[in-house]
Amino acid sequence: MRSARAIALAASLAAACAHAPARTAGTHLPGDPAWPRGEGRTIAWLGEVRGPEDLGIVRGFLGRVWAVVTGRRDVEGLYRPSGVAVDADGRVAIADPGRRTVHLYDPARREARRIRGEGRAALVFPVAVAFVRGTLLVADPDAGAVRAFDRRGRAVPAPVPLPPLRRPVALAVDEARGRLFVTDTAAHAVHVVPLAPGGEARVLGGRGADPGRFNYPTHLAVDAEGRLAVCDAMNFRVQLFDAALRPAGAFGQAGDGLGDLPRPKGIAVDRDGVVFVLDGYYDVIQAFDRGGRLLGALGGSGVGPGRLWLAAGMALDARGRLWVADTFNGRVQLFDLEARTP
Amino acid sequence: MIALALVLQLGLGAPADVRGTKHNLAASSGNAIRALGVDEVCVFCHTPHGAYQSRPVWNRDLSYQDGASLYALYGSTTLDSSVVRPTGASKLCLSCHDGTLAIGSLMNLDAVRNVTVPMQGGVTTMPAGRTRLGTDLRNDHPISMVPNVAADPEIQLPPPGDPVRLREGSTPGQKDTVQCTSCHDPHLTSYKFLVKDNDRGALCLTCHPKPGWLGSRHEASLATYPANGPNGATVGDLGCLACHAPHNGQSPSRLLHTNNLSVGTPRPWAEENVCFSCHQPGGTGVDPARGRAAPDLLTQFQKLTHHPVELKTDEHQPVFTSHLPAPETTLNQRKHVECVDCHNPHRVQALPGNVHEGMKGISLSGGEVVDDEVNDLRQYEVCFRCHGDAFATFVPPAPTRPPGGSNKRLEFQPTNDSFHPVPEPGRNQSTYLNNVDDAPDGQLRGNDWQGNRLNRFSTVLCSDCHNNEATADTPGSARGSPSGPKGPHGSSNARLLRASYSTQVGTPGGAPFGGYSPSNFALCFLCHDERRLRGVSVNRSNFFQQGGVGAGRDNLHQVHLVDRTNAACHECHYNVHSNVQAANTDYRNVLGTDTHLVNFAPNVRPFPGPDPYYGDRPALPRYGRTPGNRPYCFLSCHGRDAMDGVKTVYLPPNP
Amino acid sequence: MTAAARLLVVAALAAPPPPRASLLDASRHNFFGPGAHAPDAAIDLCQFCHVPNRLPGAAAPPPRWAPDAPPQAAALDVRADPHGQPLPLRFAGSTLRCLSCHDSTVSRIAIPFRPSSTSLRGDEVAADRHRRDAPGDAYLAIPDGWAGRVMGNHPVGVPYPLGSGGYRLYGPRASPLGTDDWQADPRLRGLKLFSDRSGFVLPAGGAGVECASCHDPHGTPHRPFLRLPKARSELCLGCHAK
Repeated sequence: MRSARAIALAASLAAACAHAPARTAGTHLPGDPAWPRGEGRTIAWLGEVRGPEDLGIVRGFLGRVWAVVTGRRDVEGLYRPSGVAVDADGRVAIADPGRRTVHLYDPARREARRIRGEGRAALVFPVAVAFVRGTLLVADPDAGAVRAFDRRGRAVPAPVPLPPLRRPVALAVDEARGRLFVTDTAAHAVHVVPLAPGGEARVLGGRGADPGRFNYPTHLAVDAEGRLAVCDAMNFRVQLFDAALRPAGAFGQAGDGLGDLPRPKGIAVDRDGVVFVLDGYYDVIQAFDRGGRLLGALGGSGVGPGRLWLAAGMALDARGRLWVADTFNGRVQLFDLEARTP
Repeated sequence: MIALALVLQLGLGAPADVRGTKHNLAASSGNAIRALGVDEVCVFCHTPHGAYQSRPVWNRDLSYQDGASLYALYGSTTLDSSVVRPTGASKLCLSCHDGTLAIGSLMNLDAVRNVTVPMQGGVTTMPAGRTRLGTDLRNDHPISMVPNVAADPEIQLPPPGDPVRLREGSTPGQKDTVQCTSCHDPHLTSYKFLVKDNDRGALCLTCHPKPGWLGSRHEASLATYPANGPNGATVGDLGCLACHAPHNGQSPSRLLHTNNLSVGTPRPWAEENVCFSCHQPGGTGVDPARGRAAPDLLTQFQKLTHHPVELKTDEHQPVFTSHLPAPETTLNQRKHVECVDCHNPHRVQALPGNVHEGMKGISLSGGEVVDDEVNDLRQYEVCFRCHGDAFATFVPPAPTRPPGGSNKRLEFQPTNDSFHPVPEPGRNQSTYLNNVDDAPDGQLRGNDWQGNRLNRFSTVLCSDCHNNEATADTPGSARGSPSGPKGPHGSSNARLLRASYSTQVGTPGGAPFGGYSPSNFALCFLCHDERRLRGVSVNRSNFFQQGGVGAGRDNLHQVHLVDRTNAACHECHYNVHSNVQAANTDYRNVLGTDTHLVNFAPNVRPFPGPDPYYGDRPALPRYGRTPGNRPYCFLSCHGRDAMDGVKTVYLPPNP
Repeated sequence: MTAAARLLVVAALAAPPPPRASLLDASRHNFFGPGAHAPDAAIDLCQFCHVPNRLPGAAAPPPRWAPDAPPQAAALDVRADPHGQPLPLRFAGSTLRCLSCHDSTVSRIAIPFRPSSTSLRGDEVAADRHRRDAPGDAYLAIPDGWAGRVMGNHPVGVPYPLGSGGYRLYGPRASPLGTDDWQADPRLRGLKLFSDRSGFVLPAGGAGVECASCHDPHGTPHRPFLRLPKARSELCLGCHAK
C-alpha cells in the first residue's frame, strides 16, 4: 500500500517536472480523501513524504544494502517536519527541528541532502525554510538567526542584510517585488527586507490587537499580487496586508467552531486568492476568501491519509499543490488544490 | 508538638530511598561526592525533557555512541557468551563509572542544555577508587551478554521473581541480557546498591549455582578473614567474595582478588596469591570448629623444592569447569603448575576428606576420571595428569610428553613386575621386606614396628613419600602425622620428599659416604625397618648370602650399605617407583617373576667380561637368574670390578 | 459576532480561584504580557489555552464549498474520524494544549522536539520504535506511535498505576512493575492525575500522566510552572518511590 502510493507520488512528480500540470485525481488511490471545492473541482490527497524515496529519490544498490545493514533508514527520513518550501525547480526543503536538520530533496536530480550547518552556523532548531534566488534560507528561532545555504548545502552569507532577530519563526518571499518577509515572534513583528540594494526595509506590527499589530505572529504567506497574510497566533486571527503592506482586514477568533482559529500554525494563498489556514490544535486546514468567509475545511486529527497531528507549516508550489508539514506524524502530506471532480 | 514531630522525623536519619544513597549528589546530601549549589537528586541521571534516551529519561551523554573501541571488555577461556559492547542500562552506568565524563556533566539543568555542575572539592570525573571502573572492563564481571546457559551446567538463569533479573540488551523488548542493573539498583540504599544481600554469596549463587559449594571446606569455614577484620566476617560469610571480585579483580579472567600483595612474585595478583591470602601465616583467624587457622601453604611453596605454582600466572584453566582447556602449546618451558590443577576451591574438602573433590584425573588405564558425588578420585589419578603420559591438565587431547622423566602411570601399573604399592598392594609379598611381622593371613599381630600400621596388604599414597618434611615426625603414612600442612606442596628435602633420601654417589676410588648413616635414607626407614637391612639371621632382609663373609654379613643389604661400599639405596633401586622403565638394567630370566624394585643407577656399569652363566657379554648391568633359578648380579660398580663371578650369586632362602 | 456572544462552558474556568489567577496574571502564560488583560474580561487570559466553546453553528455561516454539510460539522472539534485511525493518545487533551504552542514559535520552549535534536542516536530511535502497546491489557504503555513523538521526555499520555499493581512497563514482554516503585497516590502530594473520560473521579487503571501532572500552567511558585519544588527532587519523588 505504502509503496504503491510512493510510486504513484513519484510518478506524479515526474509528470509535474515535465511541465504538464498534473491534474491528478487518478494518482491517489480509491478511498483516499477528496474534498469538494465547488465548480467541479476538488482538493485531492496526493500522498505523503516520509523520506527521499517517496519522491523517487532512490539510493544506489550499495546505498540500499548499507541502509539494510545498518538499519539506519529512519535516520534519513523525516522525524519532526515543521516547515516546507518548494522552489521553481521542484526542489523541496523540509525543516526538521527534531533532527536539527533541513532535508533538501531534489527529485529532478534524484539527490537528497541533509543540511545541518556547521560550526557557528550549525542549525539548532530550524522551523521554517524559503528559497530566495536559489539560496535556501532557514529560520532558526533558537539560534535567533536566519541561515543561508547554497544549492550544495554549504553555508553561505545571507543574500541580503538581515535585521537583528530575536526569534525568527517564518519566512516568505515575494521575488516579484523584491521582498523577504521574516517573522520575529518575540518582537511581535514582521520584518520586510528588500532583496535589492537600496530597497526600503520596514517592520510591520508591534504588540497589540489593533489592525496592523500582532500578538505572537507566526507563519506567513504572500500571494502572486504581493499581498501578505500573517498568522497572528495569540490574537487568534489571520491578518491580511495589501501589496503596499497596509492592513487589509483580518478574520478568525478563538473558538471551536468552523471558521475559528484557535492555533493558526500555517498559511498559504492559492492563485485564486483562497487563504488556507492550518490550525495546530484541531488539526484542520480551513479555506477562507479574502473577506474572511469560510469556504471549507479538510483534515482532522489522526494518522491516516489527510489527517493531521500537531501539524505546523504549509507551502504551496507553483502547480497548485499544498505541502503540509504533518509534524507529529513525521511526514509531509501533499494535497492537490486544483483536482477535478472525477 | 509540631516542632517535636519535625525533629523526630528529621532524627530518623537518611530516608530509605535514593536520597539516602551515595547516588544522591544533591548539595545538601552530605555525601563526599556532591554538587555545589544544585540541590536536586534525580537530575544527575534523569531529566523530564531532552533526555538522551526515553528510558530512563537519561540526562547524561554517553561515553561512546555506537560501540567504538572505547572499552576493553571482559574475556575468558571459560566464557560461553559473547561480550561485544556495553548495551542497555550498562551504558548509562558507565557514563559516570568509566571515569570519562564529568559527574556533573548533564544534558539539561533548569532548561539549559549541556551544563556541567561543579562538584564539591573540585571533583570532575569519578575519582580513582573502587567505584571508578575505568574503560578497562576486563577485570569486571561481564555485562551486556546473553548468558549461554546451555553451554555450562554451572550457570543458570535467575528464577522468576528473583530480584536478580536479566535486562534489556541489544534486542529491544527482550530481557535476556546481564547488565549492571541485573545485580545493582542504583536507587537502593542497600550495600553497594545490590538488588539482594550477597551474604554467603547468595547473589552470585543466583546465577552461578556451583554444585558442591555448600558444605565445602571454604563454604563451611568459620575462620575470620582477614584474620583481624573489623567486621569479623568469616570466609564462609564472604562466600564468593572471599576469592572473587566482581569489579576490579586483580586477576582478570577469573575475577580473582587477593589482599596478599606482598608475596614475592613479579605478579602480585597471580592466582596462587589468591589462595595465599588465607593460606599464609596468620592469613585467617582460627576456625573454632577446627581449632586452627587456614593451613599455611605459602611457607610450603617457598621451600627448597615445591610444586612451582609461582612460575606462571593464571596459566592453566581450571579443569573443573565445563570447558576443555587449551592444550599446552610450548612443551619446552619450565615445569609449572597451578593450585587449581590439583584442587577445586569450590568443592575442596579438608583432610581426612577429599582434597581433590570435584577434580578431574587420569586413571591407570589413561582415561579421564571425574570426581563426582559417586566416585572419589584416587590421589595418584590427580598426579598422573602431569606425571603420566603427558603434561596434561586434561584428557584428551594432550600433547605428547617430551623425552625425559618417567611416566608414573606406566610405572604404577599393577601388572608390573615390581612397583611401590600405590595402586595396589605390592607384588613382593615377603614378610621380610615389610617392617611389620604379620600373620600368614595378613592380619596385624599388634607388634607393628614404630606403629606405622603398614603391612604387605597396604597401599601407600604418592604423598607418603612426597610431602612436607614436617610429616616425617611419624612413621608410616604421612596422613598419620600430627604435623602439617600435608600434601606435596613443598619440602625442604630434594624432590619434594617427605624425609631425607640421599642419592649422592661416589667416584672411582672413593665411597659415596664417609660412613653409613641411617639419616641418609630416613625416607625409606619411615616404612621399611632399618633393622631388616642390617640385621642377621631372623631379622634380616631376604637379600642375603648363606655363609656370608664374616659374622652378620650374610645380610647383603648390610654388606652394601655398611660394610663394603657404603652404597646408597639409589644405586640398586634407582627408580623406586617401578622397574618398568629401567634403562640401565639387563634382566635375565627374572622378568615375570619378581624384580624386587632392582634397577641400577646410571653409574653402575656392565661387567667387562662374559657372563659366567650364559657366556654372553650384556651391554647393561645384569640382574638375572641363573639357569638354576638363582638370582645373581653381574655388573661393575663405579668402574671397579666388584664381582668375582662367585659372589654375584644371590641365594634366596626360599627359592 | 462579538466575543461576548460566545458561551464559555469550560468548567474549570467558571470560577478560577483568585490566588491562581494572580499567579497566572504574572506568569509567562499571560500572553497579553505580565499584568495585562483583555478588554473583554469574560475570556481574558483563559482563551490562550482553553479554546472557548461555541455552540455548534450558532454563529458561523456554513462553508461555501459545502453548504449542505451536516450541523455537527460546524464544530472544529470533529476529531473522530469515522474512517481513519484515531490519534494514539489516551489522556492527551491537556497535553495537546501544551504542545500546540510549545514548538519554538509562539513558545520559546519546544519540549517534544528537543530531545532527539542533539542526543538520540539512531539505535535509540529504532529501539523506541519497537516499544509497542498491547491494547486492553494493563500495561503502563506508551501508545503506538506516540513513543517516537515524545521520545527523550518523561512519558505523557500514559496511565499511572493508581490503585493497581498489575501494570507492566512498556509492553507485554516487560517485567511487572513493582508497586514499591510508585507512590500510592501522588495526588496526596500535590501532583495531578487525569482521567481518560474527562471525569474527576479517577478509576483504577484510568488515571493518566500528562504535562499538567507535574506542571501547573496557571502558575506556581516553583519555576517552571512546577507543582512541587525541584529541591531534593521532591517533585520526582512525588510519584517515584526510589
